[in-house]
Amino acid sequence: MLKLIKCEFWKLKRKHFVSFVIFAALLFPIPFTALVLAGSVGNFTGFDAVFGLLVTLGEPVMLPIVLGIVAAMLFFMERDSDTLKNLHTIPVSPAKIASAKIAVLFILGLIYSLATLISSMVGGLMAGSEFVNIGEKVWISVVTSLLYTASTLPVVIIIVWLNRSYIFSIILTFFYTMFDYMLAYGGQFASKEPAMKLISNILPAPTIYRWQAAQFVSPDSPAYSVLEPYFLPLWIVVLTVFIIGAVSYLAIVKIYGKHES
Amino acid sequence: MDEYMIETRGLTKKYGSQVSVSNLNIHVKKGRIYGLLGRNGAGKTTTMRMLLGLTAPTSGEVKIFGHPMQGNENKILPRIGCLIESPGFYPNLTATENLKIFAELRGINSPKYIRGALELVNLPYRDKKLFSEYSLGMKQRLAIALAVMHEPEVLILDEPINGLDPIGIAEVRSFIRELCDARGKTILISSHILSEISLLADDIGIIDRGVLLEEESLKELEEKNAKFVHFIVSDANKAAQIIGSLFQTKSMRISDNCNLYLYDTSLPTAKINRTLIENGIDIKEAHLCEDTLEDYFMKITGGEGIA
Ligand SMILES: Nc1ncnc2c1ncn2[C@@H]1O[C@H](COP(=O)(O)OP(=O)(O)OP(=O)(O)O)[C@@H](O)[C@H]1O
Ligand SMILES: [Mg+2]
Repeated sequence: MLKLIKCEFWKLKRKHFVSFVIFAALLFPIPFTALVLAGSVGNFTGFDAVFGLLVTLGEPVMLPIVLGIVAAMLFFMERDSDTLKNLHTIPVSPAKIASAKIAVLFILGLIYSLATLISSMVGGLMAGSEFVNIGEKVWISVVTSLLYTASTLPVVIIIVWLNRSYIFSIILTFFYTMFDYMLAYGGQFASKEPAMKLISNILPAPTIYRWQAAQFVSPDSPAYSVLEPYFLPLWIVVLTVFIIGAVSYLAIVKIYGKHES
Repeated sequence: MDEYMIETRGLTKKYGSQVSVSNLNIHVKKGRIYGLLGRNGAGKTTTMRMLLGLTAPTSGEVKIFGHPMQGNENKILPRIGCLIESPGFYPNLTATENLKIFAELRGINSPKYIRGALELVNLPYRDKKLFSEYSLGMKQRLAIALAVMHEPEVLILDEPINGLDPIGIAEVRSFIRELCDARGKTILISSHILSEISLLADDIGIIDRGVLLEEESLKELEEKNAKFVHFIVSDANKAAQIIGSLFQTKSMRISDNCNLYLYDTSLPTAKINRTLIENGIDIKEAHLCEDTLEDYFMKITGGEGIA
């Protein structure tokens, strides 16, 4: 399996999108740093503020979109280059190939998230603060990246299942992410519709935010009393997202296995 | 006891109502080159895909190394090298990088296998050129390199000389021959080019519209090819009647009313000539001929022949 994952990375060589995205992750904190320097982020300051903004507002959008595009690249690669027959006759099973590709998504998610952390440290430095609680921030980064990568898998099912063009997959990912994101930050608190309640309890981003909010919303802020009833402990969030991820994983492996080589 | 390296029993593939391969029984012997010959769409690729487990047969069985393929893929496939239809490689990687991926997945760690395979097909090792920048013939060579890289005992090559120039064809032919003669590999090769197969193969299977019409050694096939006397005469119909009644023979064929082919070469040609002239038929030419394999193909695949 390790060999397969290594090979998946080799196949990404000269695919400039991937390195470009990691680079973008490093630049992404600039606007947030500017916001923090302008002093418009409530009670948090410096590094804490930049990091908090990135993890709760930046990554939930960027990570699923980036990973959706990378997933399309990975899952269309064999189809487009007609190499599936070479893999099948080695033999490597389609289930293993699909698993390796999903593992690559998790690894890239982690790299992306850690790149974000590093650049927010630079941003924090510019905002003039000291690095506090680095250990905790690494932990939050890791958990966030794992949760959000898993949250991307449902859209990967559709990408693999429909097996269409890149553009189509990108649009699909974009809409899924936006919908998920809007529910997380507004929909789930604003709406009392039972259908909306149900959706926001199933979709990953609203669930993840209910853990993140508990980490980042300070008890003295006015939003706290509104959000507090929604807070979830990490284990419930992890369990929910794990179930979503595991079901998606099984579906992806099954659908990918049906593709003709 | 199983003497065959590759054997199929009643192998059949239907796509919807269309039968692509029908009740195929092929037998590939150890250490020989078997040429599967057929026109476009005859079912060569479909057959090979089924041999490799890439396409599930509708019915029938594939046995390789004497064991059924189904359920033994993990044991059988690593001992086979194959090239199916067009070469498939990652366009953003070089030839060496491409082979490295497949070598890694096959558990080959030493770069000497990659280098050896590339040398065999005359491609440079560690070249900077990307696969997407390769010419058709170079892509085909790389595909052959992939097939032989892990030194398999059996090679299954679907139209390996597609896109190669004449020198490339001769090179590939000689190393395929060598793989078989010097290293004892068993090779199944498909082609729609008759001359290629007759230069290379020891055994030949002729497939047409999914049906195996004939399977025998090249030698037998050549012996079977009829000798005949070809007359060019002023009135072939009349000449045929005269010869037929004189010698009680029916093994003749007429075309264009001036060509007469007489398959019984034991008849006295001089006497035939004299009789025809006496009956007022002009003889422009008469030769003893041997049917080429090509003519034979046209005959058994029903006319239009193989390119
Ligand atoms: N996936 C498929 N779906 C439907 N029909 C198919 C499929 N693959 C092959 N066929 C049909 O099966 C028949 C045999 O095709 P095949 O590719 O085996 O021919 P071939 O002998 O390899 O021809 P060529 O010399 O052109 O490569 C053709 O009529 C083709 O249309
Ligand atoms: Mg073919």
